[in-house]
Amino acid sequence: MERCQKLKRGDRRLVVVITKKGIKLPYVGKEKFAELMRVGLRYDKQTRMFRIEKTEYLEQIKNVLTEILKEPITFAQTCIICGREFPCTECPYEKICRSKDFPSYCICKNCLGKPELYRLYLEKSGKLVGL
Amino acid sequence: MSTSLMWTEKYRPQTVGEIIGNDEAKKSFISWLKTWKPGVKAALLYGPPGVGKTTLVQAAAKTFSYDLIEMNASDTRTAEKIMRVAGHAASEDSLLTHFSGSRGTLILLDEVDGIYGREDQGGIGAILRLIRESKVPIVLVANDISDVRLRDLKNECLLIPFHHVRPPLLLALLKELCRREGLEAEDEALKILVNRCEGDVRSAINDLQSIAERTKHIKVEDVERLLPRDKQITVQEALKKIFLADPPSEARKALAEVNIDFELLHQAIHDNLPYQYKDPEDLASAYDALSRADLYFGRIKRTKDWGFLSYALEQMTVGVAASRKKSYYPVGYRFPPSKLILLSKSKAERELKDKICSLIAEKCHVSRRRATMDFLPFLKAIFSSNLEEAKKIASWLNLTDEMVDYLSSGKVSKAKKR
Repeated sequence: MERCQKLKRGDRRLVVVITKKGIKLPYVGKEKFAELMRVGLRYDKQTRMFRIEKTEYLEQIKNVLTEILKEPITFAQTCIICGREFPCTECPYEKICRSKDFPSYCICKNCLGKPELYRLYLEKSGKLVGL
Repeated sequence: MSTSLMWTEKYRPQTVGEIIGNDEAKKSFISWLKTWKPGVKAALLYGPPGVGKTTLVQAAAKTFSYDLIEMNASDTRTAEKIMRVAGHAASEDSLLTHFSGSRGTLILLDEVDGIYGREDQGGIGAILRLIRESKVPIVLVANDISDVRLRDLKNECLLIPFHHVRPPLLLALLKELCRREGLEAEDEALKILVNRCEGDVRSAINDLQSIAERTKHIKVEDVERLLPRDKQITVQEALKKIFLADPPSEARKALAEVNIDFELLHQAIHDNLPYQYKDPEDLASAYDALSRADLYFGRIKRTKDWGFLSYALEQMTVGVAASRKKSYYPVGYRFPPSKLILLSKSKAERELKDKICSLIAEKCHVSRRRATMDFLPFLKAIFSSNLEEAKKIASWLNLTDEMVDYLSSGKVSKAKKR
């Protein structure tokens, strides 16, 4: 988990960014724990972190975590080109994206301007898929 | 520039590596295909149109040397037709495996969410049989799998979700197409094009081609000149639009964009309201609006006066949205409605009960209704307490083992359910 600052109408607002590693939560109690498991999170006893396993109920995951942390939640995207994790709030195309906030692979703002981006993407995507 | 060929065909990815977006889905699918052996589940790829589901299967068949057998919505997909086309391929190794170095056959059943109605009778059952008995990998493709009729199919498949392709990837693709076709395009124009197609690669390429047929220098005005596209949204998106519409009159628009029976949507709104509106007053007022809509639906059924429909729709969309006094976050919406799920779960039980009552009605010369009301409860009591008597009645009525199980335990055995 990392906390990033988001600028919104001049206010500085905290947004909790959940990365692939997972998120550490304070004690949530039995009921909330069961709810988290039901919506698709898994608890790793060794690292004591909650990790997203199923993405079917992302909105519900968001709501439950927002309730627990009392701060808005966003999921980190992984840049397929450089491997960096970043929130959608960083992306210049955030407003027009139809799969916004869905934790997946994308291209970060630093890599957007790279020459031959399409070829670079196909290369990295091929490696990722295992071709 | 070639105008005779559709660019979607001209630039159709020939290998898996050329498909953009949905990298996690691609990874899951390829790993499924590489490790598939008889007995492993089929794959069900689902997601919005134009994101590369069918293309991925076709490209994977080429990349991994499979012979592809494809059935899509343009074919009639009755049980008989499916078994005739795919059944033979699913049960035996292809001859080509031995002669041409092919790895075998890959069966693709496209648009399985469209297999309904009289013309496709028994289609879903045939696909289920095909999956269970297949000796070759089977891939199903669908846009929306929320329909309760696809429940059994979902249980037999590895579900691989696809999402709208991200704008940066789409933009990179459009720039590459412009380069290959010798076009010059303003960045802002391409951005508007990407916004317009909403993550649908096919639409983006078609739009770019239609502009390129007029000009080689694509400007913002050229993109703005394109006709607006009809949008199709999922039931979940429609529910979100209705519940969180601001101003409430915007809720009406959801009806035009979603392809669903209005009464089913009414049921879905009814089911999801308590999860969305947490304030009891908002909830009560929204249910009032829904009940008024229900009244109108009832009047339409009684009087066949469809003039009431606009009132019903207004109440269940704008009426519900206007009931909201507080602001809420969207939640994960539940669909299909619980009523349909319950009906589908109890289908096996209801069928068995009907059969028992038919046997009773025939033997005792009473109506089936009478058998259900006056005989069945007493038979259940006898079967659960007096085994000797139960045996005699069972042989007199010619009851099967499942029927006896049901009467003595009140449950349908698993074998019957399947």
